[in-house]
Amino acid sequence: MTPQEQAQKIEEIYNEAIKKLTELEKERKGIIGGYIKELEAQKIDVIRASILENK
Amino acid sequence: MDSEKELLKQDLNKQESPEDVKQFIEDAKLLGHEDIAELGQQKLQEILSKAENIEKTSESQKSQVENMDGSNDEVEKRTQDIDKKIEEVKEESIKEIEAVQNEKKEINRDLLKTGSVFNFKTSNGDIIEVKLISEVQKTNEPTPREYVRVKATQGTLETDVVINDLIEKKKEESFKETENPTPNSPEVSEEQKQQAEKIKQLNAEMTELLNEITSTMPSRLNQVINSESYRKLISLNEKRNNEEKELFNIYNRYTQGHDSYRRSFSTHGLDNSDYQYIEDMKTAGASSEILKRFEEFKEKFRKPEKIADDIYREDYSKIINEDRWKFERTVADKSKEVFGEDSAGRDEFQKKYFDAYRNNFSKAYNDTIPNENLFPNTMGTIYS
Repeated sequence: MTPQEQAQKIEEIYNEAIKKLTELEKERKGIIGGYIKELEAQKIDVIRASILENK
Repeated sequence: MDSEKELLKQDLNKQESPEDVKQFIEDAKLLGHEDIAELGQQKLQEILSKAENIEKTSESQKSQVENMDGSNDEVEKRTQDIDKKIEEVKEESIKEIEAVQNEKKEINRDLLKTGSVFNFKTSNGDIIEVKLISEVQKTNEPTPREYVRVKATQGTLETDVVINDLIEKKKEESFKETENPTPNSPEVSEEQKQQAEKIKQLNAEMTELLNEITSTMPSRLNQVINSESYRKLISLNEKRNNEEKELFNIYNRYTQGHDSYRRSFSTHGLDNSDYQYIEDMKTAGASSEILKRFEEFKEKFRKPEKIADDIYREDYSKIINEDRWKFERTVADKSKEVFGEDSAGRDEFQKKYFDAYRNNFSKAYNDTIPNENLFPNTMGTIYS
């Protein structure tokens, strides 16, 4: 493998890794976002329950 | 024998800390993989850095979780699998880049000729420069391997080396290290060959000029020491030294026991402090005759010696220095023409010839007039 081919191959590996990491990043953020939504929903449920109780 | 592959593998496996990355680059550079090593290191750093950022939960997310009465332990639990995948991407990238860097660089077979110079990594890890002393040969194994006989350019090591274990030297390195690259040497480009030829011619020209000047050095040195100005200066110099010694002894004798005002008398001390010495002598009770010797010293010896020194230096320049300056100017001008923008090459070339001149002159001096002092201590001294 020539140095040029080596460099090209390294670039390909890098691009592929960054692509995978970007997807995992979105996924991770989505998981945390989902958890926050769950928490929000729980809070809303608590508030709703509280309102209903006060009625 | 350690191979490049093993070396790079070891270092790449450790390169998660900055120190290891640095070590990796250094080793890779030695092996002639500077560009690939740098690229690999740069890309790996970017991957590792991105992965590290992703694995961290941002402060805003943490804060949102806390505001909603959630738990960050729960966040960690839920992101565990993703974090594992991120780790896998990291490890995979390291391995893949490692594999690419470990790919054996194909050796340029055109260079595999007797006389070519390569680097070679010895079993104890040292990189040494070797010269091929045989053509490529094959082993008698079922799967023959190609090898060459090499000899270290410095030292006595001589051994057989499998051709894939030879490390190509970078072209500019070979060029710089070879004082007079052979125009037919396979590792230099056409342009370098032409430049090498120019340098070779300049070397020949300057060597001839240096030899010519060197051959006349003994006669010119004799001319200097037999010159009237030199003889006069030496004579005055001796007389003045004797007088200074006597004045010192007198001063010493008179002022002993008077340390509170006594100055550190020396032959150089008489230069600008005559008046002070005379005052000291007066205090010490010296006779008017003695004081007169101190007062007249400057006029009697040092001024004539300064004049003689000026005349001698003029003669010395004509007899010795003019040729030297001419030689140095020629070396400087010609090397500028040949080396152009390569100031390092030019400086090195000039230094070589300037040093050679000095060495030849010293030798001629020691061989011709070893007992003469061409530079008596008045040289360069300013007497008013």
